[in-house]
Amino acid sequence: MATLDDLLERCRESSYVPLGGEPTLALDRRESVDEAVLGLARYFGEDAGRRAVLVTVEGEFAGYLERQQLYSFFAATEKGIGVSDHFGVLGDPGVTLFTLRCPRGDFELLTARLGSTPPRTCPSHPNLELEVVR
Amino acid sequence: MHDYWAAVSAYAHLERFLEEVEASLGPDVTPDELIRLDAAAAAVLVADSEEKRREVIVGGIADWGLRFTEYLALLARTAPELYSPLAAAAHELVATWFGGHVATERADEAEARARYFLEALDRAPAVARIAAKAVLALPPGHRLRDEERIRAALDDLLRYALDKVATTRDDEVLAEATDHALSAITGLVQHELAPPDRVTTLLDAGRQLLKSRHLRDNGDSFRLAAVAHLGHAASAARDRNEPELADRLDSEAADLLAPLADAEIDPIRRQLLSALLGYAEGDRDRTATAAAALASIPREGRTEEAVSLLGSTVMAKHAGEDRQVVDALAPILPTLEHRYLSAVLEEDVAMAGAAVRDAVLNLAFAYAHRGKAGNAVATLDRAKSLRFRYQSLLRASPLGDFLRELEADIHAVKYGLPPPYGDPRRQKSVEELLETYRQARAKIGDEDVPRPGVAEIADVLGDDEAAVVLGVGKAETILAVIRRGDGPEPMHGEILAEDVRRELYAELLDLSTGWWTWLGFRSAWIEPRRALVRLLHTVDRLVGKRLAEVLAGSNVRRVTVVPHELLHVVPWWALPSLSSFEVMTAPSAAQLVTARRTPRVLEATALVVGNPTGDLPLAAVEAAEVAASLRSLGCAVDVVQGAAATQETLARAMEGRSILHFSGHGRSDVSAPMRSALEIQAAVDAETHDGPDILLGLAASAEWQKVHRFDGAKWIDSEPERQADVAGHGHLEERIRHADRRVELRLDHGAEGTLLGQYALEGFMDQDETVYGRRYRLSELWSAGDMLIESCFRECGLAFVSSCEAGAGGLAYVDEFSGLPAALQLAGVSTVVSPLWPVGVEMAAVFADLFYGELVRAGEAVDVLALVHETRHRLRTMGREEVAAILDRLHATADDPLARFLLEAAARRALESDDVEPFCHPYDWAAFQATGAPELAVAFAKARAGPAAARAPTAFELPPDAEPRSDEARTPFGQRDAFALGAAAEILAETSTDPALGQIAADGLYKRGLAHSRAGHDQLAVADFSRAVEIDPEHLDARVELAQASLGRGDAAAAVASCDEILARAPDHLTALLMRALAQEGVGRAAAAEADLDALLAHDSEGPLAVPAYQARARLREARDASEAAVADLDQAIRLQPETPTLYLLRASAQLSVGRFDAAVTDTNRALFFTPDDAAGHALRGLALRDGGRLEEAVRELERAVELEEDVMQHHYALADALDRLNEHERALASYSRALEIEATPTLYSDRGLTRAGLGDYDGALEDYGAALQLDPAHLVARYNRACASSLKRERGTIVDDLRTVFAGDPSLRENALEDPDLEWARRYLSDVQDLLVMRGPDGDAG
Repeated sequence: MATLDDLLERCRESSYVPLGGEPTLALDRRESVDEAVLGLARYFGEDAGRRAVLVTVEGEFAGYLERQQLYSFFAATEKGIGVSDHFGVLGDPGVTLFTLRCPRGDFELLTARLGSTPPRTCPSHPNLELEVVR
Repeated sequence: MHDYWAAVSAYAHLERFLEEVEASLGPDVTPDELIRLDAAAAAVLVADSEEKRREVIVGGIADWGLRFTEYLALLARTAPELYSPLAAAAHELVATWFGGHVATERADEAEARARYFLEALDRAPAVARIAAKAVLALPPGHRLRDEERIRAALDDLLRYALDKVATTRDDEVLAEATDHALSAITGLVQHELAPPDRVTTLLDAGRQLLKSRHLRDNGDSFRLAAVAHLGHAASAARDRNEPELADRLDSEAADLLAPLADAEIDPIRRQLLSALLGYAEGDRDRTATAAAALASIPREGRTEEAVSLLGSTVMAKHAGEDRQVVDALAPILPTLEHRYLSAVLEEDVAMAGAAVRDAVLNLAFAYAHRGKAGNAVATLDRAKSLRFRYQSLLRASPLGDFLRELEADIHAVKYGLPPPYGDPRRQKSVEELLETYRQARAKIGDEDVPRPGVAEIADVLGDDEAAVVLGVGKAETILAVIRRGDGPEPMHGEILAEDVRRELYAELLDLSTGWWTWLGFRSAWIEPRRALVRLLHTVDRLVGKRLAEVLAGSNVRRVTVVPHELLHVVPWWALPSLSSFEVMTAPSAAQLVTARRTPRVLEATALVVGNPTGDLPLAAVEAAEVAASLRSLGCAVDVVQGAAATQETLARAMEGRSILHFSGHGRSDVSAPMRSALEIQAAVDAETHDGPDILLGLAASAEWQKVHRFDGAKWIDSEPERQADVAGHGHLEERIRHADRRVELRLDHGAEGTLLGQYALEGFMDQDETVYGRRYRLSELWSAGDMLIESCFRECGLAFVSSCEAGAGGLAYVDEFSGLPAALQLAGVSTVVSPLWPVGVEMAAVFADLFYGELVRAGEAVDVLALVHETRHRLRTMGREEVAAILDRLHATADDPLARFLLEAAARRALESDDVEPFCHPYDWAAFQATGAPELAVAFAKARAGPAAARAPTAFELPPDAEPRSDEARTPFGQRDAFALGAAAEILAETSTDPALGQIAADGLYKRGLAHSRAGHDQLAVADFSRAVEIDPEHLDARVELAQASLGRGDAAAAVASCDEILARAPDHLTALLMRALAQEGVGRAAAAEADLDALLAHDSEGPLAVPAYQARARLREARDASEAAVADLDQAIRLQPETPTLYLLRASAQLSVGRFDAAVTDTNRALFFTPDDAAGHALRGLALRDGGRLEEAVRELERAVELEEDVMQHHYALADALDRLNEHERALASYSRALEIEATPTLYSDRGLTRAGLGDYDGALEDYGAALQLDPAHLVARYNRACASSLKRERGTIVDDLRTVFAGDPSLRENALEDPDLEWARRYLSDVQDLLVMRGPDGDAG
């Protein structure tokens, strides 16, 4: 079980120099970060070239999280009772990150869950709601 | 037509016969029933053997209950010439059957007996004890096991009998009542139906009854029940390190046994008792002599006697008589084995299994001591996995399928589900099915169960093989080595030093570091890697090195170890001394022989299961790699993954397959091995994943019941579990796992279906209702039990179970191979490769990759053990880069992005590992093992398709570990050392903030507090209880102990405060209510105390606290002059506990208060029956007699009280008073004087003054009154009497002042003084007195 503090600690440790264009992972302080961690693992696993994401909490900048910093959330697991708890539910964990994009196409954001709050608006175009692209 | 019909035809008055039938059997017997009953009775008549007759009678009772025996009796009256002898024989048989003797092997015999007695109980309350034995023999939860009814019946009988004992003078009635009272007490003690405090009074009462001259026998049953109780208590006292108490209890037991040893009883029983007595008294010679006498008694194969004999040989073993042990046990072992194998009920299996185990151990070690190693090896093997081997035999028999189907039906019916194979129109009960099952098994018999000797074992071994047989006794360890060519004796046999067994078990069971403790309980404070290393160091030092010495210089390559009991959890292949051998284990030598005799040919068909619960992405990658390897061999492979992997799909896909590879979750249950399981996809509606949780829904509405588990000797409540039958759904069980704050819900929903949900444990609400948190996983369990009743594994030669701890078998009462590997082999699999403990997913994937890589290269003849051996050592010696390379390769083949990232992370971890060889720790490399046949033939192999990989070096060293600790430093698990537990708890409390661990720590401190308390260290105890409450404020037991401690030291206010805390959390906490009432009473708050007792009794007026509550309330009620209410309370207390003399005395006292002198006398009679030398009882009887006017009897009773307790003032005082009333003033004077010597009180002086005045000694009287008034100037009686004495002496003295003071204090005495003849002189001659007598008002003024 990961905690937000663990994740933020990794961000603080990071000496990553942004290349620009890193996607933003938007986190909500109230929710568990398990799904975000799993989603990030899947996100990085999809493309070996993905190096890092920018993390925000409640819209505030928290730092960069590098690919290898996520390794420590996946220490060796056993095939025993309860050792894969972070997968939450039966079946394909299916946890992935949603990508939200400004309709103008110049802003993208990753988030672990959409929650019940209204869709976020684009920081560049506050009158435009972000759309789920996948 | 048989004789019976002839007899009935000859019966002239058929109508009268039918009338008698109706009178005997009741009016509701139908003609049809009568005909069937008749036929059953007729079968008794025509039975052609004693055994057959026994079966028919028991069958008749099973079907007809009480009616059957009554009908037999009626027939005997009707046609005595034909039936009398038969009825007498039947009566004798039934009588022994009633006594608990097993007449047949019927599975429903116990149920039939219980039903019979429950029926009989209504008509004949005196059968209560036999009924108790019959009914309580049924397992908890059985619908006929009505414990409350039995307890009530025994209490009723006891009350009735004691009442008779106290009130009748008829010798015949007295004798009968004494028997019944003793019988009821025996039942209550024997079946643990009374709380511990009450057992003490019951035993006292029983001992008193034993002294009665009316007792018809020697009280054997009571004596034996009491001895059993005292024996357990003594054993528990020794465990608690209270040797003095243990010795006292042993001594009490010996006193009770002594008369039996010389009694005219059955010779076997007599000798057994003598042996027991010798044992209890530490008299080895007597034990040995009795054991020898037992061995010489003809046995005729009767099981009960055999078991008795077994007990005696245990004693003989203590006396070191090995030859006697052999002579006694060898002939009866087959009987014991048969009993074990024919049993089908859990408790029967456990008891009979324990008997086999004990017999085999004693016999094997007796052989070994006599130098017969071959016999020792063969004997040891007889108990190893005996039922498993029998089960294999049954499976292979023509009835195998029928038995498998019956097992499925029994399982389903047990959980209220339709039987999958049985006739749905006439659904049978579990007992009926079990009986059918037992009968079917009996047809196969157990004679053909393999029981190989050394020569047969040697015969299946290769030239380069050795079999190593281990046997662990109570103190010693047998080590035997068998090689090909051995005859009846093994190549090597020895008994290892006693230290070996002790050290091995101490290491395994250590509470802080024990490997077994960790495997069994997953204790949070045990670090498994360290525990394993410690174990390996110890085993290697004690056994491994010795074994290597024995095998040194031989050409042995493969070693098969046949371990024993706890030694099954040792990875023998990880012992450095055995590193040059390929080591595997076999559950028994017999299985070693069988596995080698039936070589299996693998066909080119395989089923590969990957990640069936969907939460282990790497398991899916592993499965894909395995499938690719097998396909490269030309094998047809079905891969079933994720949501498709339901039990039905898998069972169907497995049909006809030769290879199974399973990569997923597994679980091992060491306490219930058949529940060990592989976790697969649950076949529930997909909607339930996100919708309402089916298990939580069922749990919310379930009517929960306790779960009972058989601990090998008795049924115990399993606290962390509960269960419920849910109509239409199946059987639901909940198990709380405090250690990791989890709760599991398990639904048995069909003969082969079990749904498991795992949730976070949020806590508990009122009434201990569980609060479930989020669900971790929902899965179906493919359990060992399911596998046993499925047929899909018949063609399977190799099963590779890459799953957590799948290879750990169970550790039941007997050394039985069980758990998943056993189930798979029983289901037909030849060789199972599986881990013995939890394995990491990456390691398992790498191991599987290496193993199958070797398999592909192995050619047609595959030495599976050699492959596993080689793979283990390759894993151990792989460098970081090599491990990372394999993980990278797997990464490249994985489709799932999540799996790819996990493999990437794992590869990075390997590269950054502190160890040059990332899997060099035995916890990593040594987990996998091979069981079953070591070699397989691969018909489809591409012979020598590729070169074998380079061999890894096999020599290794263990990681270093601390030096072995001394025995004193150990914390043995088995001895439940409370002090060590407390120390561990303290560490836990200091180091952990986890609330779950906090609870464990608090409990540890609480238990240590109890131990301190028992040892008399009250301050330490209170400190531990306080700390426990501090850590876990909800630990109510600790709060109770704190309240108790406060009460004990007289701090009632603190006790009230502690109880307030408890009752704020649990308003119905009865112990707290009682203690608070006692504390309130202590601080004078009688009303509050009574209110607490009212609340307690309103909640539970029958439970174990009801008696002290009634007693306390009676005391309070009497104090406020509500004596009638006090009597009513004591009536209730006596109803619940009629054998307690104190209660009768209290009631006698209350009866006296309300003037019921005769009733008081009767109550003291009852009390004095139990405690004839109780001075208080005699004194109270004396007072009752005195107040009832029976003065001479009163004086005798009070004199007896004085005789028994000479230094009690009250006895002398009461005697003096009674003597005064009898006008025996001189004697009274002496008694008053003695009373005053003991304790001077104003009233005593005053009363003696009165007696002296009566004797004319006015000066003496005036002296006494003066002394009284010196002690208490307000003593009006003394002052009044002083005035009288002065008047009688005709002296003015203090008369006027005395009378003035008296009238001021009590104006009513003025009227008395007007008429009192003793004051006549004063009235006549003293004008002041005349004035006082005519005046009004408290100060003498005229009114």
